[in-house]
Amino acid sequence: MRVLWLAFLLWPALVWAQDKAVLTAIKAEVFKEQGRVVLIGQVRGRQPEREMTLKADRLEMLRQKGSDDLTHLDVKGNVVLTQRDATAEFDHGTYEKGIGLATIEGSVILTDPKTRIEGHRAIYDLNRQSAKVLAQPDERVFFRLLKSAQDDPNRLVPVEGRAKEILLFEVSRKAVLQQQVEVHDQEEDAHLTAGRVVIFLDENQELEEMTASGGFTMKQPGRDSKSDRAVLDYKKRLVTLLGNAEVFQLDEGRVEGERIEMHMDPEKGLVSGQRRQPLRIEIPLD
Amino acid sequence: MNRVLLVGFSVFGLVVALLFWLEPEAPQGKARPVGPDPAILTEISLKDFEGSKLTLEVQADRAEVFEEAEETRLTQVRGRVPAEAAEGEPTRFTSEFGLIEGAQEEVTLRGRVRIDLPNERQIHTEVLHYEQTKRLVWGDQPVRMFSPGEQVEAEALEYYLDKTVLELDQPVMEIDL
Repeated sequence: MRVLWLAFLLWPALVWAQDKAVLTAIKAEVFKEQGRVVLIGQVRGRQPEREMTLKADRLEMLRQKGSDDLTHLDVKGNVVLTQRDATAEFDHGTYEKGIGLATIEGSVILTDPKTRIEGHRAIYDLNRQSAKVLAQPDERVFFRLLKSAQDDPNRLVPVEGRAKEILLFEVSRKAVLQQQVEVHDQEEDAHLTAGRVVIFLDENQELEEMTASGGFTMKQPGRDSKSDRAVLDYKKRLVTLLGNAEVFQLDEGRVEGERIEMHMDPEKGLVSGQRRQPLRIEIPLD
Repeated sequence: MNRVLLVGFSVFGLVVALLFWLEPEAPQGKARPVGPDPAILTEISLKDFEGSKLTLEVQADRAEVFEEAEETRLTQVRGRVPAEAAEGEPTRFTSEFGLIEGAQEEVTLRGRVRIDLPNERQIHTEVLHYEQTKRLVWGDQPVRMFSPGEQVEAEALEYYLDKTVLELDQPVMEIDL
């Protein structure tokens, strides 16, 4: 999820950085009375200290009268921002320094070697270091996160899905996927749905845990599970179903309970767990 | 004999051509008008008014006035263009040479041209034209602009004084962050 932070930090960083940025364009319009500068056509920018580059069709900067501090940035048209291996593409972005709010919209695509997020609009609160990515009303935000495979940490496998909106919290390294959430874990061949999913990353940006709520379902080859809530522990490779939990496993039958623990790998089956109510197990006889 | 003459004429032609090419360009960028010698003035001050309103003020150490051609050639020029609004800051300028073409109502500044715009903005270039009827300043020579927090180099500029928009071609902008 590093990409999103980089992408959001990228162009407000034009204002934060202590050194200089170089911008070129086909044409500049300087509105001296308003303290406004507009760069038009093939706008290119670079900020060597932060290894940042910018491409856009138009860039507008506003300076405060008197202090000459940059207060507002606006980039438009085929915007591509890069910082090292992270890229943000969008159609329009604004940054209001006074309220610390950056907004990008259009075809928003945020990528880095391990993450890809596609949406329509993203808002980043620099003061809270949190962001919200939204989709068009009839669409959902797409995300793909690459995690290290269990059998080979050097091999990356995707966890991808969609949600109406994704909230990102930089400090706590978590992402909240809300409304009509679908997640597909390719390695586990697991398809998850829920009203809300929270993804936690560890300090190495590796997927650590997912919690789901609002009607959780998980389909895997040979196993269907559902519950009110669920916790997916990727370190231990365990799934804990909480509240009205139900698991149907092919050839093994149905298990119901308030709390069910199971291995992510269906072939390894269930794990005994604390349960407030006795597990009810239906075993097919034929 | 003929051969010697031919070589002589060729050498003479080359010398003439060389002298022609080596002739320094007129500092005002335009050949001096033919006709009577100009009137020479020193420490001059020219003012242009529209009605009672001052629209341009030019001062120079020396002026050559070609009356027939309506041309005035200036050296060590400084001047100002008052802002459209009475309370506005004027635009000031200095240059090594200047050319006022009365018929066209144009002023051309050459040589270390510096324009001081309001808000501590400066423009430096080698040649700058001012068309008084359009209140337009333009230049097609490399230009450098300084202002608080930024420095811009560009290939050309166009500035309509009344629109207060300065347009720069191919800008390379270095901004302080």
